[in-house]
Amino acid sequence: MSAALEALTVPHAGGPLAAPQQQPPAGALQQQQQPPAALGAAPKLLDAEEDPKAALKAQAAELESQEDILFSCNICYDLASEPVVTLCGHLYCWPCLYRWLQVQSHCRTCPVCKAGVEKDKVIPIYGRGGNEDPRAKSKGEPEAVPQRPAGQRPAPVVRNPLLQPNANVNAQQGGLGIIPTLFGLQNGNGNGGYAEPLTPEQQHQAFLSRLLLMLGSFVIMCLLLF
Amino acid sequence: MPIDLGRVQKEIRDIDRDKASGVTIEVQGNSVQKLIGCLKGPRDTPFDGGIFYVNIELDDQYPFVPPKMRFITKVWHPNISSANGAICLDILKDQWSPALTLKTALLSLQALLSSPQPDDPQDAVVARQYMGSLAEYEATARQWTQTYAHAQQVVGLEAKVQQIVEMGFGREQALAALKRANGDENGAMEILLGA
Repeated sequence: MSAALEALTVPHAGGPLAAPQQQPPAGALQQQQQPPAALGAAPKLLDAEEDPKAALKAQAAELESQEDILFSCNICYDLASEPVVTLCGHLYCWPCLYRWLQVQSHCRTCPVCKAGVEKDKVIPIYGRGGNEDPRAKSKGEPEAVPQRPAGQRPAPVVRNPLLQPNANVNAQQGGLGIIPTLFGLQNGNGNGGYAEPLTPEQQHQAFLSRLLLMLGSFVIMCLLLF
Repeated sequence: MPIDLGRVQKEIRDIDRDKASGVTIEVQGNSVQKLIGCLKGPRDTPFDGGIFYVNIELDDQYPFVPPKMRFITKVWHPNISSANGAICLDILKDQWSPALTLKTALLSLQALLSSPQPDDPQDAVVARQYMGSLAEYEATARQWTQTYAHAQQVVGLEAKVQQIVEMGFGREQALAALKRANGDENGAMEILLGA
């Protein structure tokens, strides 16, 4: 079919170009009226060949579910295997994204939003059933796709114990927990004991408080020893 | 590596499902790598009322490389070659992204029809006319639409092809013969019988 179309397209290529500046003369138009229409009709003629396509469609419909769409790779449209998410938040299979980054040599961008993407700055997603047998990989990649980058493991945010009006914490501090209060650095508003990340200001205060505590102990030790 | 069949099938199904988009796609034969896209000329443009067919070829690397698209229907447009239908559109070249689809590409072609970019022309002659005399360009484009992309002609030709096919010839043969006979079904029959 395509070969036929090729053949059909070539012969009248020169026609209307001969007088491109003005409207094609009426005679020329008459002559060419049918052939291009013949080309145009080509897709309609394909109706008789509907069967293989219909079969494909039905097959694909079975495979698709709602979750597939929500968590499908933005490149292969399948449920993402070895899922990774870019810093801009777009989900891909690692092999798909890796291949795209290989294809794009000069400027590596996210296919969806064109934000910059770096290979080692994508975040892997480890679901519950993620430990699949690597031998069972369905997609044979021509060049070996390296392991996806490992997830970063930032240290958990620790609440400053000094900011917590809690008896246990005072006990851990060996009874010295009272001293910051003397220095007026106790966080007075008492946030009820639930963990909140510290603001930089609070961290700074806590650091000062600890410094003063150390200085105070040093002075007392000096006084006792000498 | 063979083409990603699953994705192409999903794309085709999505296009079929979305009747409102104004673009359709047909598979040529058994391979999904050769397709024909169809888009309606946008309203309030010289292409209004036309039906434009686009030849689509998918490389094995698709969707990592853009689909090859070329207008089958002749179009008078600064960014489309009036001779061979080649298209100058960034997303079909270096701006392609695998998140784009055949549907978005066809919709982009529709958008290209309504907003020509004469600064980056594919057909210098058309672009010059567009820059020089917009009215003249629009008249030519409208005439080309009526001549080559009008729905009635497409239907009329389909009837002729049907006629020949009923006599026991292949569709491709029928099309080729009709082309050679300039759309005359009797002439086409003579060619077919003579061959």
